[in-house]
Amino acid sequence: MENTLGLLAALSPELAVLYTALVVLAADLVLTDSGRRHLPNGCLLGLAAALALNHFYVLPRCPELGQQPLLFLAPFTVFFKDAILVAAGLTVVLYQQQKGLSGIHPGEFLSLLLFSAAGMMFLVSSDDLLMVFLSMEFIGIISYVLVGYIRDDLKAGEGAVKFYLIGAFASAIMVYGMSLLYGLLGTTSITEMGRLVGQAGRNPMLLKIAVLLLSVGLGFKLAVVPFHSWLPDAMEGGPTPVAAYISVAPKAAGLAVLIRIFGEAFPLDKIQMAGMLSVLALATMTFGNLMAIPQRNVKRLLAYSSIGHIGYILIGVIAANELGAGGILVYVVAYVFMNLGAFACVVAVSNRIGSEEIDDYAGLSQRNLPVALLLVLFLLSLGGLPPTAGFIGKWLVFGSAIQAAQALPDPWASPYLWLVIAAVLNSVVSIYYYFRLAYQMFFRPPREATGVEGSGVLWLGTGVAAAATLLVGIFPSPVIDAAQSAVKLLQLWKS
Amino acid sequence: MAGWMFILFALLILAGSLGVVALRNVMHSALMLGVALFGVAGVFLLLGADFLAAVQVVVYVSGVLILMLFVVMLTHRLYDRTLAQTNERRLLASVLCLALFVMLGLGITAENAASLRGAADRGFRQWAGIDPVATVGRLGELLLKPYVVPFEVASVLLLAALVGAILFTKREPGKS
Amino acid sequence: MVTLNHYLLLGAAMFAIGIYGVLTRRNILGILISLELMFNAAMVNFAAFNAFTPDGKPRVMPFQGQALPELHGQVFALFIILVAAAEAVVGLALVLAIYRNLKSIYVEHLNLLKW
Repeated sequence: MENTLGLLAALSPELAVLYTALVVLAADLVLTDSGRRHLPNGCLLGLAAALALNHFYVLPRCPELGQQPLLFLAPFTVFFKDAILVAAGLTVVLYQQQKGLSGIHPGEFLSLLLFSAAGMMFLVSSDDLLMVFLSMEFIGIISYVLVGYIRDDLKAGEGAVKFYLIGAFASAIMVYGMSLLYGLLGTTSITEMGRLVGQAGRNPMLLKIAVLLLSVGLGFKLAVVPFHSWLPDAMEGGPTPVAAYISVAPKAAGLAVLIRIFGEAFPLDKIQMAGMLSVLALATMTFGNLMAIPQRNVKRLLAYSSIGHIGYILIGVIAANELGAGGILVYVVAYVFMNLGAFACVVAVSNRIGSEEIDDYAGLSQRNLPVALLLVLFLLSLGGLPPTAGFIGKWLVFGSAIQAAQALPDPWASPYLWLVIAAVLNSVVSIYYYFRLAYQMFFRPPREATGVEGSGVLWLGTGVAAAATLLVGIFPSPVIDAAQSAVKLLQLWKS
Repeated sequence: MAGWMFILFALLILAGSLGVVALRNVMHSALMLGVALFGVAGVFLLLGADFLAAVQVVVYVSGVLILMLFVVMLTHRLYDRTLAQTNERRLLASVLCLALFVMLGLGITAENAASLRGAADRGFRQWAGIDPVATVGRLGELLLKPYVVPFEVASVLLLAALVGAILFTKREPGKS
Repeated sequence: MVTLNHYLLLGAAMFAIGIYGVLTRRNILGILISLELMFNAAMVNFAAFNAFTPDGKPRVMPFQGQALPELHGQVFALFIILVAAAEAVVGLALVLAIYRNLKSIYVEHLNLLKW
């Protein structure tokens, strides 16, 4: 009985999100149209409750609640769950404000969104590959539906089908890799596997193949380069709030698992995969940034830029030190705010202009100066310029690679420094295409004279994102401290 | 006896799998998938997983496969017969898959893989032989005790999949 | 004598054939059907690894003071069936939605989104 209560207490944030989703789904059936307008507010309330439970109830009790079968609970997971809940909340705000979307089956959309947020929280908390597989599929299945939500839109359907086919293919490969790991190590618990791999000292070819197959699934979820092609299609085809959501939240959840798998279960030096991962990181950031340059559609541009960001973040995994893991946490927080903020501006513009083409952003500063200024702030942060949160994230992640290189006798023989140089060059490229958008907004004459107006709630969401982007950028130490102390409690790179 | 049964089921699986990818007509492919799925159910029986075998037949063969056949029939068009069903990457794909199979096979049969599994492979013995041990009760106990969280997550997953499938297929009121 | 390796090789063959199908089919349904082969290959592996143990006796997992029989592989395979079924349902619904709009379920007719 105590055990059951402990389990319920440990999962209280997830349960809060799931209950909200079920209530929303049921309320949608009985409410009238005017009542349905309040469904997003109900969702925000539920998410806020989950955030409070997560931060003020679970976080102080992590050590005692930590021992649950198949689950892993630590300040580390609490940190990621906070980020996911904030991302889901901002997405609800975007949904409420997006024209042409908020009227279509609101109960179904919002409950699916909350279900997927709960799935991501389960993914972050997974200690067993069974939970990893199940929650990853959970997120995947809901994401396909959300992307294809406007089902009579050909682009949405196409994006959803491509997303689905690549996603199902990746998960089939991943689960086959998991089956080999189960056979080789006799367990699928990440903690246990780390112990066994650390003891064994021998790693047969089959183990490497299995880890490789497993990383295919994770690489797909994170849109690492050979498995990236679904992301731009899904983001351009899907509704804008969904595009914002899938570019941020599943990646945060996937990164939490990636850090534990490559930090705890299969440390990169033990399985000799650091070289391969470095090539992937390099390919991901270079390809993402170069492909972003010729884009005409803002959503597609942000999709390729988010591929580039994953490339930067992977450097923190390759560096294999606590600074890198903590840096990834800070980067994820920064990324949630700056990317969702940028998408909020996209929603504000597309509500008025009905377009997401870059050319239609011409002269935005004359039509609505606040939107243009806010968008520039988010673009600055995405480009990694101070004093914004994006700069802090990049600084920590790149710094971790430099720290890893300094620990070596010959720093230039390792990939670390070359990766940092490539990442900095890539950041310069990214600043070019971010500023091309800013140039359009400020130095091109507008095509039409009408102004762009946003509603109060959208301003609130954008304002929160902007404030967070600036605050983390100017006063980074609380976030950095929280991230570093969360990482210190893990068994990363210890064996 | 077990050896012959294994050969029978393995042949069913291999013939079914090859049929799935080699036959032109999607309808025939789907039916061959049924053959392969039955073979897998048989293999489960040989491995002492009788509940799994039953679920395989009930859910996979008579649920998923029937659904697939429905969709194949709903989307079938006459020009399917004349249009090529595979793309031009056949040769590349077959080389790739053969290489993958050889690599997996070498990895599986390698000595050190067996040693990581705890003993030499010949030392691996099956604890539930041809006699299917009733695993239902034990699985039930496991699912409601240590695996209760994935069990509940799975139920929510099914609900979400249901909502999604209905969204995609339900007829809008007012539209024909 | 059927050993563990026989089952594993059978699974590997199914997996490779499934990948071949996914890579070469032009019809979305054909790809979906090939995907099921890949999921089944993983299930065969899980069941086989569950049945073969080093000492020929079932493993036992301790759980909160009790000793439960170790059926992790079978439980995992059970969840794979469930997930594959849910995924197939959503996928088939998506195929029907696409077919209604596009009147085709061939991959190369999905060409609105490029670069």
